Amino acid sequence: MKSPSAAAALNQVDDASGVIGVVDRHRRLLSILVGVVLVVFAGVLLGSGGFYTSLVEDILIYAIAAMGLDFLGGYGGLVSLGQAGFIGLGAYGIAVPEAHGFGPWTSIGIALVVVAATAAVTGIVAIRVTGISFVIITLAIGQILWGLAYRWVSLSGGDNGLVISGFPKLGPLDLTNPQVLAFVILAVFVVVALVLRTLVSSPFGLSMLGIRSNEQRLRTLGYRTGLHRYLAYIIASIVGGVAGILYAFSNNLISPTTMDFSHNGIITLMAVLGGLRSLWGPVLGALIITLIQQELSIYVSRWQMLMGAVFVVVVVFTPDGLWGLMRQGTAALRRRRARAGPGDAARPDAAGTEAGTGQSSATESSESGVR
Amino acid sequence: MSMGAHETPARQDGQAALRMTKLGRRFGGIDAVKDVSLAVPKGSRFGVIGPNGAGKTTMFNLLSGELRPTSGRVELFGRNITRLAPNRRVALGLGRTYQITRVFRDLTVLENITLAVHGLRKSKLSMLRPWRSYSTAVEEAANVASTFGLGERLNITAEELSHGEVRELEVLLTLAQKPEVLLLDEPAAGLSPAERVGIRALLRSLPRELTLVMIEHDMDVLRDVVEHVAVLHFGELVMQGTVAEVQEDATVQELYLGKPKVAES
Ligand SMILES: Nc1ncnc2c1ncn2[C@@H]1O[C@H](COP(=O)(O)OP(=O)(O)OP(=O)(O)O)[C@@H](O)[C@H]1O
Ligand SMILES: [Mg+2]
Repeated sequence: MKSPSAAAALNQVDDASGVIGVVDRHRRLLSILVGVVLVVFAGVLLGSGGFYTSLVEDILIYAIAAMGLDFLGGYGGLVSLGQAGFIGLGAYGIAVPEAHGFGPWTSIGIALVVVAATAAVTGIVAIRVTGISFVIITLAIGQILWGLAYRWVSLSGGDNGLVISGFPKLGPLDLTNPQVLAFVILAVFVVVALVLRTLVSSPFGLSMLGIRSNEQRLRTLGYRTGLHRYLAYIIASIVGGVAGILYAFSNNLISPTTMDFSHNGIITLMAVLGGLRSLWGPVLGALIITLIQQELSIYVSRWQMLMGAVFVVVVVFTPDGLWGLMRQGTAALRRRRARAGPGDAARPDAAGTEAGTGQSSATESSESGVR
Repeated sequence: MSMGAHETPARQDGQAALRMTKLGRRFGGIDAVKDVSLAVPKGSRFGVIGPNGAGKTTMFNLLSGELRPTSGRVELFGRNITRLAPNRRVALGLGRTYQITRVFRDLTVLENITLAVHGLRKSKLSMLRPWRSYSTAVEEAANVASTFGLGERLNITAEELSHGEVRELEVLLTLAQKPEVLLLDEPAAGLSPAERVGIRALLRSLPRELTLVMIEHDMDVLRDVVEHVAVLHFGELVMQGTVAEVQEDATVQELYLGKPKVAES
């Protein structure tokens, strides 16, 4: 029953030539290469100590949180405005137990449990809605978490925040040493990126794409889409919480500012600016925005307003973000090449999939009959 | 295609696959579907016709669970499914397609059908390895596609397909789940005569044991595929019979007056 051409299409090999062709054929290898280079570069900066170390740490931590947000927003179409809330929750999850005399490892456990439990509870409300309502509900959840940190002074230290005093040790790995801490953060970033990468390409990840594309249809194909969205929300929140745990050890201090409205907005902006629906996007976004923030905050006191303007421009002009723009660029180049080359001039984007097959010309002609 | 993985309830032979009893749905003051009682025997091929706005699609929505009826009940193989969620009905072997196609437009043909294949399995929640590495599911999806000429289009997104191909994909999504009862809502809607060839071949090739209910205006397509026809008008079931009986019926001709595509096409 299985036709050989179907098998061929499954193992499709793009026959574009030149640089684009090379990029296409070895996309997987290249992205691993780029990843390794970036990680090595980050490693060098982290090893150098001082200012760049803390800058790269910030970038990595926000990149983790933004990747989590992207998993929910880019793949599931549920853009959250409450991710900084979970960073704060993870960080307070370390700070509060430590202030009550718990050890750092116990505190990490408590932080993860608190984050997961909060996500499980707030998720029940959040996943009832989609689209803009979801944005607003997550915004409200973020504000509630911020409000708790701000008002529950006896627990959170209120405005002054809490200092993180204990750092975990794992054999020779002593996180009190800033160098070690920096590489642990890098390692966690890599692990989270790999985990999310596996997630988005799994059947569950495919179901998230289906939800984003047409949730109602997915439901009539047997999916309990609410459950899928709920799980994705919890996963994204836990990733945010992990970023928060790292934040606590990296900054030594957690105060309500970390989870205020503008921070929630900035993490969302990182994911959206970099580009949803690709895990590289949020990393790019975190890099750019952290750097801009670093520079701008020196010269412009109201740099958040500028960020707001950037946000609007991005959403209006490049819905797929910078990463999306880059991909569109290479796709356009590839199309131009295909058009210039011999063969399938009418459907350049289909070149390589069906060029030269009888089927292609048959569908081709029936199509031109309609349009 | 056989019963496959569905959690089908025990059933006797000769039982109705689908049974509607005094089924009704009101929208505001309007009865979109009113007091419809209809039994669709197992393995039969049923056509549903009626003028625009007669309530055909609304009836399908009541059967598939996307709408709750305001009165009456729906049974699938003798089991009351009136209040069951749509995804549960699918798991019981009830598949449907849409008049306005609802494929996953920004996903490829292969991704579309793979989603359908995983739909009735636990694997849809699996997170540990790439969906492409589930080779049986992917091959199954590719096979479903290649039985209807989409085998060459696996890596093309649905929005790049021709209108006729999207229609076929719409049906394939449901067929990939091997339903026992299939509801088709105007599968040939908006297709040119040339494009209809493909979808008619698809409909003719459906497995014999499948119970089929199809909304269709085109009498040629109906004659090709169904034995019985039910006629809806203003939400009510006005008659049912063989294709020939219905075509000769005076009331039906009156309903369709000025609709030459049904009277003679
Ligand atoms: N969700 C809804 N809300 C309000 N009214 C509705 C809704 N869905 C359908 N209706 C009304 O119910 C009636 C039946 O509509 P339905 O779509 O079932 O007709 P149909 O027989 O499928 O028509 P067509 O041949 O045009 O597809 C129409 O008057 C329609 O306006
Ligand atoms: Mg209709």
